[in-house]
Amino acid sequence: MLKTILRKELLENIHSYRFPLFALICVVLIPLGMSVNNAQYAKRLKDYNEQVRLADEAQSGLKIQDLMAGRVTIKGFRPPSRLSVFAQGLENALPAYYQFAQDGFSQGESSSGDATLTSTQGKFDFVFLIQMVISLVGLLFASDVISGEKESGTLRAMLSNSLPRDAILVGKIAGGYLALLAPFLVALVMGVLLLLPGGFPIFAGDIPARIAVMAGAAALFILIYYVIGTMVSAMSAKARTSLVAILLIWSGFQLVIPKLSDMAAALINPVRTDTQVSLEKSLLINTIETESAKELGREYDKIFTGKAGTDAANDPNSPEMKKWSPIRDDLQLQTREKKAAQLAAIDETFLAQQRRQRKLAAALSLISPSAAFGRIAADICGTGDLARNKYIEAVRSHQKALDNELFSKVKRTLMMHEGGRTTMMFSAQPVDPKKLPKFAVAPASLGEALKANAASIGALLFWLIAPFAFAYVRFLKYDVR
Amino acid sequence: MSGKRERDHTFRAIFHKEILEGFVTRRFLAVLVLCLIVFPVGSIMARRDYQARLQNYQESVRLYESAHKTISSVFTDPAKGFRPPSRFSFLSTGLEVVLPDAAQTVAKYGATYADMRLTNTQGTDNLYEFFHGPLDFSFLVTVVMTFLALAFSYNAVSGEKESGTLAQVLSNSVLRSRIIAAKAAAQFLMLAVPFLAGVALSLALVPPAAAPAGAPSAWYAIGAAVLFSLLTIAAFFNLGLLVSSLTKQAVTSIVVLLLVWTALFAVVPRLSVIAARFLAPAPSEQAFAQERAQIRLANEKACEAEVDKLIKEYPQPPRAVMQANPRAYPPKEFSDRQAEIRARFQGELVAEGRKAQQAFDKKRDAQIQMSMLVARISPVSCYVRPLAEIAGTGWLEYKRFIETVGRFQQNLNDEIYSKNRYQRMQGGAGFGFTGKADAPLPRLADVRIPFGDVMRDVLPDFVILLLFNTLFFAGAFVAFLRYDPR
Repeated sequence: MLKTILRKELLENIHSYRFPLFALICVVLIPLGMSVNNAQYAKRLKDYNEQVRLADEAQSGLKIQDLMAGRVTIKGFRPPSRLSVFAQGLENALPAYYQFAQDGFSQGESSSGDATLTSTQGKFDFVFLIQMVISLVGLLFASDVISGEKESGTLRAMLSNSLPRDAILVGKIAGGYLALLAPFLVALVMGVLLLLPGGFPIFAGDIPARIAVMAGAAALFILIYYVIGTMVSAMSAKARTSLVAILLIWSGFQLVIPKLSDMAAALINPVRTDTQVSLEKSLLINTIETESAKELGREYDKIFTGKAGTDAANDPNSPEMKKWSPIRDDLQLQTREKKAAQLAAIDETFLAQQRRQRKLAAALSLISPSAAFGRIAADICGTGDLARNKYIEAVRSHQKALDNELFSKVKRTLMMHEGGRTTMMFSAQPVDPKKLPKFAVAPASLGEALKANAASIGALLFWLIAPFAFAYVRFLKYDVR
Repeated sequence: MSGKRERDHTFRAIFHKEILEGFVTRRFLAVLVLCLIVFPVGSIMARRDYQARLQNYQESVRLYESAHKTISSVFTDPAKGFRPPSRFSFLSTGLEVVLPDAAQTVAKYGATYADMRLTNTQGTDNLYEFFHGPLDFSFLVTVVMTFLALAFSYNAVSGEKESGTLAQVLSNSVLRSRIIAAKAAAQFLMLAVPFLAGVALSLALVPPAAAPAGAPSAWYAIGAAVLFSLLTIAAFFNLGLLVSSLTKQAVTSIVVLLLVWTALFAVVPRLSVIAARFLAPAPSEQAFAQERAQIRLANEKACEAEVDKLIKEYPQPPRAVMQANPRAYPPKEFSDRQAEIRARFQGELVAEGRKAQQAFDKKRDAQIQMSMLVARISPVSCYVRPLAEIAGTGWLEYKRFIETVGRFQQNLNDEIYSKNRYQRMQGGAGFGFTGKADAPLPRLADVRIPFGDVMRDVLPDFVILLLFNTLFFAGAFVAFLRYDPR
């Protein structure tokens, strides 16, 4: 019985005008979106490779004088994500690079580059098409699956037979969903095949698994919207009423809730900007270094006095120099430790604020299946919050490595003396720029991505089960009279 | 009754009937309540968001100015300038999240010329706002109001066809043109009234901030935004009327309209960006940054190579000579020749950089213009872009900030960097500053775009929206006139 209803629903959908229309939309837009994003990825990769080459060239020509003058900034670039073909996520918002200097790291421009100024129109990727177009079509397909039959009277005729109502409902959902799924899968396969001539590494690493999980998540998302549409249809007496209700639900889930959740999180848990934090750190560094310079100047002036002092300062073996060196080293160590501790405290507070805000935004966005799907897709494709966290971890780790291998090799001693005179002394150990660590970002594994999105996956399952249960109960209780 | 009076009477009668039918329905009440909630809430949230950005901006300026009072502060830290958030960003967030919000100098210690680097941390400060997009007035109109426009118009004609009432109306001696005009006017009014009520309530609850000295009143921008909004809502309403006139069933109308809406709202604007990249390709900003970095690297290498030759010509005297006369090295001739070499290479670098910038700007401007042109296929784009310009968060704002930064850079180079003296010699390097290190540090002077310039820029979109309205209504008009009730 279930198979008969499923077959009937499937054939009805295939023979209606909606199926070829939907198939056309899928087959045109999905491969187009993927091909265009692939071309964008190739451009970004070329830019990235060139930037890394230039940065390596600049680094290999590093001179000790540049280091002593504090003119060295080393850049670490983020490679574009291969799977940004499917979900652009935060790809264009994250900084293209970070700069590492003696006083810490700062972010470069965002990756959007030329996309920045045309980016008001939004992303056009696989995830966008699923969220905006296919979900709407799914809702439209489902809008009259029950209310249409109520209006035309065929439901009464069907129910007058000894057909179990649950079989009717499940058959309708399954048949309608299959009519949606088939063109979607065909379009996805076409899109992936179109990527192959461009060298898309479909069999490399865990890419096949990630694509499969993405496809699975998308299929689940489409099913959720079909079930929600069926639920609305089961609650309405007329197809027209279902449609209007579906419009409101779709715009709420799709457009309003994700935006509201971010805004609400920003208002409930405001966070200072990156610019403010970096300015605060800069102010702190200046204050600490000025205090240290004054202290060093005072100690220096006590030891090296008059012409004899000047001569002693030029003689590394003089008793004054032997007295001065440990005092200088001790003061500089205290300054470094004080700076590190206070900067770390600012960073920790800032990171904690950011974490709280992001957790709240993520929690609020779970109200919308679209936002939940968007987060899962972005993390699977390496363009989501997880990728951002990995990037920041890599940046912090690289700064520490450079502090050990490079910046700590140079000692700059700035002294402020009585009367306003300032002196700067340098000492440097030799550095081989070719042996400096290379910046690399370790991408999150598929397992990590799935674990981090457990709540989003749970939200999707909720949005599948709850509307189905509601539709089930309504349909079972429907009075045909 | 004369013919004209009779026609006017018919129009008024149908208009009156439509108004009464519409205003007493649950649909109108639902729309009114929705507008009275959504617009004020959106306005309050957008205003708070703006205030948070403004506070961040003011705090950034305060922190910067407290540590950078005099010229000497830029010897260790870059000079910076900040862009204030647009006070009308509650109308349209536009490019606000991606526009540069700060500019800082990029110069090596002792350099005689500084480049400017534009930075934007708003993307990373508001990562998920970038991900999902903002919730502003522009969004509420393009999504909520256009949806409602379709909801009001999709069955204006097809619903009456289905129910059979249209055939009855047409069986009377009523001019079809009067029927369609009265229907359109009445039903649009039922949409416009809740919209204007929502806007009025949001302005009453969150009045616009007083304009800074010399700036035009906020009411000009709000008035222009409301006018554009009404035109856009009317365009979608007329589109709904057109599809409703062409179809026989209300369900078919709404399905077609939803797909058309998705295409116009979501697909066409995005495809316009892609089309522009093919029709008017331009190098990416990253590729351009690399090109500039390469120009700079090549220039520095060539400069330092010449300085190396000069250093060999003027070797350092023996230690005994130096001890007897510390000023013996470097000789004045050496310093003058090195300064001349550096000035020459600096001039070449600036000229090459300017040339490359102009070429890049030309290509990028062409691509942006192409994208705007193609996007105008959709009335949504004819609304979103102008509203961003009116709100001061669009492309004009970006160009204005670039010009302002250019003037700031010139000022910094004139007052500070051109007065640096750096020379390399055997055994080390020497730095000097010939200006007054304790002089006040120049600040970025912000200049706003005149409102007239903005309106001139958005005039084509205004005309295109009028055209959309005319075309859609004309199409509905003709379809209705030709409708055969049999």
